[in-house]
Amino acid sequence: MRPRPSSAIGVLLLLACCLSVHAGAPASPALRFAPLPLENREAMLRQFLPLADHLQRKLGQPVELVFHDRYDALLDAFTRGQIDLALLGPLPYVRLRERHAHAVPLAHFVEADGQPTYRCALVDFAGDGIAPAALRGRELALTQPLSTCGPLAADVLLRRYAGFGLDQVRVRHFATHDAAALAVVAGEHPAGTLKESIARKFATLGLRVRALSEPFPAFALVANAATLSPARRQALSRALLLATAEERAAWGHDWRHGLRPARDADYAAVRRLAMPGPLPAAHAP
Amino acid sequence: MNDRSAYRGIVLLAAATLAALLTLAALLYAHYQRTVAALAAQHATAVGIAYESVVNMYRLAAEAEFRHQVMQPRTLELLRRALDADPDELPVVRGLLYRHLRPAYQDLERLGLRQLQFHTPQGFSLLRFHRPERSGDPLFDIRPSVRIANQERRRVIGFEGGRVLPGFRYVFPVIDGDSHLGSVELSISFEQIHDAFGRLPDIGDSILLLRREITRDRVFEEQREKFSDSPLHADYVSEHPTISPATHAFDTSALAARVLPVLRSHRRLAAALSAGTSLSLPLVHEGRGYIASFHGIDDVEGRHAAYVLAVVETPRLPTLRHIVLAEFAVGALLILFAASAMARAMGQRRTLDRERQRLDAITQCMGEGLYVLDRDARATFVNRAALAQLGYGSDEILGRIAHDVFHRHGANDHLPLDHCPIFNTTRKGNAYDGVEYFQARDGRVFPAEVHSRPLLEGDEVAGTVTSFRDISTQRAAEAHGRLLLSALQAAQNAIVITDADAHIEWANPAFERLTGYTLDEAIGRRPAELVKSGKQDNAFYAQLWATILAGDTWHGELINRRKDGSLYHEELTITPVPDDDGVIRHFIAVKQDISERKQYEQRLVTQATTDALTGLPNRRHFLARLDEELARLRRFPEHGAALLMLDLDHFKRVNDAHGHAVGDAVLRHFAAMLRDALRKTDLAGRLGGEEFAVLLTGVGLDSAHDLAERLRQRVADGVVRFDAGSLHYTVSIGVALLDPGDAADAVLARADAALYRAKQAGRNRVEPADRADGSA
Repeated sequence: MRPRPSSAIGVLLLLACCLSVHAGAPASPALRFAPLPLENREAMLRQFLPLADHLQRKLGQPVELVFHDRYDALLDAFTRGQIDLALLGPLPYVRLRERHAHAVPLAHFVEADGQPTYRCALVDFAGDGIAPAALRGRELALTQPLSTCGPLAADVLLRRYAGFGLDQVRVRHFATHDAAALAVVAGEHPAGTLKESIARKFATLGLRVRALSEPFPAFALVANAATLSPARRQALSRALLLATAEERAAWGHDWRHGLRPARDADYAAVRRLAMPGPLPAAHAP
Repeated sequence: MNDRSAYRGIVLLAAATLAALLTLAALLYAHYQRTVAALAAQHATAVGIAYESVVNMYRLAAEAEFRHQVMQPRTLELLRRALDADPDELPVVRGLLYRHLRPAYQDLERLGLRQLQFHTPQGFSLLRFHRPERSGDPLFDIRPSVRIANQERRRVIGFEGGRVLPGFRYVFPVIDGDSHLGSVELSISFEQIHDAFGRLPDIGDSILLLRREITRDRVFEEQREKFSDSPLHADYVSEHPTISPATHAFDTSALAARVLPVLRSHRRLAAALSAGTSLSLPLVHEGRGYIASFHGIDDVEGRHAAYVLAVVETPRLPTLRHIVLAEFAVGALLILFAASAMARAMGQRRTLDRERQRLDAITQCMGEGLYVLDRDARATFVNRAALAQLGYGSDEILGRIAHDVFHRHGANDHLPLDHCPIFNTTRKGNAYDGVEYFQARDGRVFPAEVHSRPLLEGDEVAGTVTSFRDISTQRAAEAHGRLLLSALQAAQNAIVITDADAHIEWANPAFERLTGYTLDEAIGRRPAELVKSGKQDNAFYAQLWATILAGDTWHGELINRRKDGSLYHEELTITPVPDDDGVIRHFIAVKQDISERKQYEQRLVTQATTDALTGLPNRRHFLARLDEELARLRRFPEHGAALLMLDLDHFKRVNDAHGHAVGDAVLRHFAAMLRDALRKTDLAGRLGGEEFAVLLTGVGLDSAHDLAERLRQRVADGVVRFDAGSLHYTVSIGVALLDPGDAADAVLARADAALYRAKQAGRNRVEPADRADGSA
């Protein structure tokens, strides 16, 4: 089920209210935590509410979940100091860091395979049997422009799979990786790029991984040094890195496998791929 | 009516009032309950109808979708392929099926159908459009609808839990010819029912309460967070407000916020929810009314699975309560007013009864006779005293004209009623007081003191009340009193009546004669102020007062003084007169003038103790005094006393020579000489003939002898003159000292012996006697 848009604001208000109340008297301001929009809102809540609860308990301060449906909006808010902590993929972090030197990566979420990295996949529907060359000129399903698995990875994967770059196809950006996957299954697009783990999930619908990128640093929690003191950031790191398996068991399925310390240097490979310059135009279905 | 019956009456009235109040309260409460129950039932019915209509509406939509989208060749082909596909091919077929029906699913979503799922004939999930990545899981164990549809190959419609979310299921078996291709399910969420409720008036805010065991406990693990515990009961959950706008809307509803605490504390709710029974609760809290209807929903196997809870504010409930309370208040006031009026009436009746009883008791106990006549002079009441005085029975008087029965005039004359002074006076509204004659039943006519008053009703005389008293005894007593007074007045003895302080209240004429004071002068004054002479000392009066104040009669004699100052002897008897309580209120003094008797008595005494010729104490008196002196001497021996025995010498010759008259003159001369020569403390007496004795007190022998010698010498020197001439005479004297151990005879004998010696020694001489011990 998908909440109706009209109820989204109410849901957010309720969440904020619940979390604030749960924290007791707000002696300190709420920690504003913004996860990257990877799935639909319902799934996002399910995934990150337990993590927010954990941080709240460990930090002794309320945690406020902040949602943005678009990556660029989230990064803008972070830059303006409206977000204290964000869950970001590699490319969004690199783009953010280009604009905002106070973005400090704290910890990477370990993937289900135990690695602090993930890969992007180029997928198609097994029942279509489309040859790589046939993709030229077609419209591919991509995640958001600032998504690592979006244009950045798509260009690399397309070159690797079909021998030509992104400039040879048209693209359509989807708000979430799920939406991009289902669009390919539904036959709306001959292929698409998305996170490998999500692509594997839709294999039961005939979604097929045709090419994989190099490993990128896994999603990381990025602190805003402009709004959080070193002590707060250190406390955050401890709360995340020292979380026990029992504590993580309640977290979302994709985020319960552990964390590793993150450094800005982890993103060197992404920086090499990412062309500095203006952000690509972003649009979502 | 006595106190006990009055108390019983009060208790009965209180019980009746309480019963009336309770009955009124019960009737109004029953009426209130019926009305409230009807309102609740109306709401419950509305909820039920809304629910059924929504479910039915979507059933029609689901059937349409089934016919137009599922039962189409392409869909059936894909389903057939899915049945035959190997594991490598199945994902592609599933993907193709998704691709084929994705537009239709999007249409269904817009219609409000939440889920579209295909199942294999073996009960495995083939494709969930709402969670396409999840498939291949078995459903028969947890989804009876899927099992029934595939095993019994019939459509199943109803509420059911599931792996993802519970819903209102429409499960159709997919049968193509002879081929059973599995089943397809469409379902709607509670949101659709919630939306439908929102379009209906009077349903209110609603939420779906799901039994935990068939919902949260059955879903995929990652789905469990989609449920939140119900605040009303531990067996129930709701879809989490983060994913269910309906839940969110309910949780944030001000109405729900007010109602939920009331429901939580409702005593019947927990048991009802545990049992899964539908119910509708009217609630009034803090002046606001609500109805909460729990519409029970069974799953496809008939087990209770969920509730649609709808709450609506119902202002009629408090209004109804106010109306009922107002009706009760008005009714209670009327009942209390009636009870109060009855209590007042009972109280007045009791008061009247008490007054009547009191009046009856008074009239029956009063000594005076009393009868009441009506305006025609017929007796309507006659008391016991009247009957006793008249000797009639009440039936012989009541209803009859009393005047004719017992009223008489003068010497037993009977006058017509019109001439009756009592009747004539009172019928004009005036009071009558006087003495009349009544005749008793035995014929005795007696005087009666009559007091008659008119009984007025407004300005009219409605009858009379007359009291009377037989005064024949009083009159006899008055006559007797007058007789006694006359006796007192006529008494020779003075009689004085004083109050307790001795102030004279009354005295008879004899008192005036005795004292010289008139009654007017005496009234109010004390006898002591009038007649006290001072002859009696204070001890005398103290003894008198002590006696009479002790309640005893005092009797004695005293000397009082008349108004003119003269003294008189009075024999006085004072008798105290106490009242019934023993307190002395009066004294009655009876006085008698005994002056003459006292004088007579004094004469008798004088005659008995005095020698008539000489006026000296006679022999008996002298000897008595001698005995007294000897007694005194025995008490005070140092005082001393002496006895002189004197005898005129040759007195026989005087009688013989000059006659007894001269002899008597000599004797009187000698006596006069003794009285003149002796001290006041000395006593001279004539023992007989010419023999005298003198008792000297406080003297020794020498002093006595000297006095005796002076007496002898004075006699010898004296001369007695008489008509025929004069003569001289002498006296011989014996002197004896009194001894404390003497008897009178002994000292007389010693003195007489000394006198004899003086005679023997030649007369006209003084001779001392021997001492009592015989010494000279």
